[in-house]
Amino acid sequence: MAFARTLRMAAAAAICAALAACLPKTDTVADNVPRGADKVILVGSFEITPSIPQSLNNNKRVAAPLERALFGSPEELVGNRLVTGFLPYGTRVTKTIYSSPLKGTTHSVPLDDLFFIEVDRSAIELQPGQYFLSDVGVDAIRLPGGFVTATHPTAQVVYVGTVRYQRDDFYAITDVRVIDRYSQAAAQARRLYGPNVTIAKSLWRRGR
Amino acid sequence: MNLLRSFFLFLGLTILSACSTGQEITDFSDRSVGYVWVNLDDARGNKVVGGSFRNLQRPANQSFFSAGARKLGDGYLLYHIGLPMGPTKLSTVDSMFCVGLCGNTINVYDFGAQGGDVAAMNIRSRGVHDFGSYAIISQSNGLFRPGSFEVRRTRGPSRRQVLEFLLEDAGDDQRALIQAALNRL
Repeated sequence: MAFARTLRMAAAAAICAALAACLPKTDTVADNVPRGADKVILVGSFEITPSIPQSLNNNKRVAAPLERALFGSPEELVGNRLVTGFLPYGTRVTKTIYSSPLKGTTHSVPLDDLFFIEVDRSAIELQPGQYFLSDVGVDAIRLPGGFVTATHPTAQVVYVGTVRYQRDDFYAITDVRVIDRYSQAAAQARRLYGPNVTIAKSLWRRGR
Repeated sequence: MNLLRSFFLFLGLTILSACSTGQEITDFSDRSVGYVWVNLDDARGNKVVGGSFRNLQRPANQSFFSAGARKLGDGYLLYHIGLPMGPTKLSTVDSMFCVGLCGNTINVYDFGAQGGDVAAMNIRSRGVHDFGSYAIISQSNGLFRPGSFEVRRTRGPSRRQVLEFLLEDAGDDQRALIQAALNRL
């Protein structure tokens, strides 16, 4: 009996761990600059203009409180956040019925704030993103990706710019621009990682 | 026995009340009538059993408006008599296959929150608004991928036909508004 209970708990823990692995990472400020030469910190931000009102915490399903306890609240996961990925350029993301597009190097990045995310020191491609309008069903809009940054051969931190998504009344993205706010980002990076941190600028460019 | 029957009645009412969403509209002074006509000849299902409009200016939990669905000509008219101002679009069309009795599958054609190309308009003044006439075309994507659909504009009933139909069908709350629209034709 005790063995069966232990087995059940282990199975539940395994399922929870597997599900949690599919969730995007919400911690988007790296604690330290990377020690290895093969890693670099990307700095940048995202904006949607005009901003979009969300209505979260409206999921009234019976399992909703349990999901919140295990994985966090919708506010923490997607509240005014863009879910996207930063993958080495050329990585093929294959979506099958067995895999989620959220699996892998996926981050939930707060809009309008700077992110400091550690990535491989290689050309990085911004993946298409999602902005969740609510937590009932899959109620999201898609934001285009496809921007590429070359990063930098030696700098510890690379600034990639602010991606500004302009939308119309029907949430269709009508324009995407990369805004250069290097001085603000560099100041913030020095506050976080010290005055001697090496910072380079390699703004997002449209990939081929 | 009576106690058991009362319990099940209470349980049923509780479940049904949990299904209801939204608030009753009592003031129609700033509300519009919106309609869209759909044809299902090339779609899964042969009867529209429901649908919804979505207002994109409101937070998502207050943005959906369940539409009435009625057979009109060789398609179905979906309408709502209490649409608020702001960008609004057809959100879903629900169909079933019925020959006398209906099957157990509801096909939900979801137009998504994003994009204003299909059955969408920005309601800037009170009136009776035509969201267009569309044919829904179902597409099969094989066994392991969900089905999809596309829509194309089609010829539906005339505005006069629709307004006369709504005048009969839509109740009293917006009768004057519909009659005024009809008088302008």
